[in-house]
Amino acid sequence: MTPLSVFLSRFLPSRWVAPAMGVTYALLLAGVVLLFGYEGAGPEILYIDLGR
Amino acid sequence: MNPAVTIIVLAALLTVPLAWALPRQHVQDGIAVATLVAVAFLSPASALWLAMASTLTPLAMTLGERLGQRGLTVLLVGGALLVSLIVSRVWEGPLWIGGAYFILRHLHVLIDWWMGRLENPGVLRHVRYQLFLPVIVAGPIHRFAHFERQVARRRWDAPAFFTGAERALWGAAQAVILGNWLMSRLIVRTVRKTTEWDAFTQSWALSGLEWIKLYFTFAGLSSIALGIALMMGLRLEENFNHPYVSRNLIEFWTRWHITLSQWCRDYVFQPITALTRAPVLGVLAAMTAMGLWHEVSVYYILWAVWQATGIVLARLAQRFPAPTTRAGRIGWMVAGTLSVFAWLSLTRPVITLVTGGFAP
Repeated sequence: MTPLSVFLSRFLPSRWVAPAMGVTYALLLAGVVLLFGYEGAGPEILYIDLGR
Repeated sequence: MNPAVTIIVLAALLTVPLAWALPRQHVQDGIAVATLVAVAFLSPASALWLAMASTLTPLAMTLGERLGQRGLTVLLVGGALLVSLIVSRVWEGPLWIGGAYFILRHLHVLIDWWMGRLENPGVLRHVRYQLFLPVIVAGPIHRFAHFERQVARRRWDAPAFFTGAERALWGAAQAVILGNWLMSRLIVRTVRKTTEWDAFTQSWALSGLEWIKLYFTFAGLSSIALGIALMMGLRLEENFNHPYVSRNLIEFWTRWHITLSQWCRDYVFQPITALTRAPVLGVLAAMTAMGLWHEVSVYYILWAVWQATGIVLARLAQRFPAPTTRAGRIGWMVAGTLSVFAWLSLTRPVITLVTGGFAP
């Protein structure tokens, strides 16, 4: 049981939990991969990113 | 995400199967080697710095024990570590990775050894602790004893593995989608829409958005680190605990970058307060250390003064009796939460106003 499955099982019947988890993971992964190259981090983030 | 961070995160993910494939007694060595290779690939200078600090510190501790000079060892080694951190900040040439975090971990080991809270770990145990890839670029600043306990208790646990994977994915989404993409777009849009505003109000609005962006990015990177560590079977210290629901600034600093706040509490605030019997001075010193850790600049010294002032005011506000009615308590809580965010987002505009924009 992961936190997401616990959360989803509060609202969905048990047979829908696994597909809903799959959809959520796919959406998150797609979002991360699609926006991966987006250069939004300014210099104030950079030192944290690299732990300088 | 920055390309260097991406490479470190991917390399850390690759070490997960390594952590389960290697014989138990060699797991930490395998991770340490992978860490050094990944850091050296991006920045040979950082890899050399990390390797030298990790091996020389316990050797110096052994020498200090033999000579009966623990205090002097802490002074010399600690000083050298701090100087190396300052040099990395000033020297713009090489790409420096992870120093801000691993120097604090070194100082933690060194000071705890001096205080008698920790035995000399020796080179091997110390290197295994310092060279842990998931936490290299964005923390948390995990502690030696907790790390060793986790390593000792480590065993395969499928739910923990998948919880870690889920957390790492959520962290990546938080950092990339919410932090880098959504908040950056919001900030650019706000810049365009506030060109008519006076400089102070515009700076305040942008500063507020940047604090939210910083939370998404930084808490996201922390979640990736903690998630990957959990996939390896290690449950490390949390770094964020819903900081924006804090009711005052004191609570905020116990929920935001928790491991750094605790480091500053243990190694700056408590000694200074114990020595001077002046908690205000302790707070100021702790916030100055935290500010200078971010960046060695006049801006961050003023940043520390502003944060310390906020903490002192929050302490004074605690003397007022809290409302007794339910509506009063809710109102008090909402007002507290809003005041925390207002104080944080006012940091940059106020410093810019006070210094006339000149605070390098």
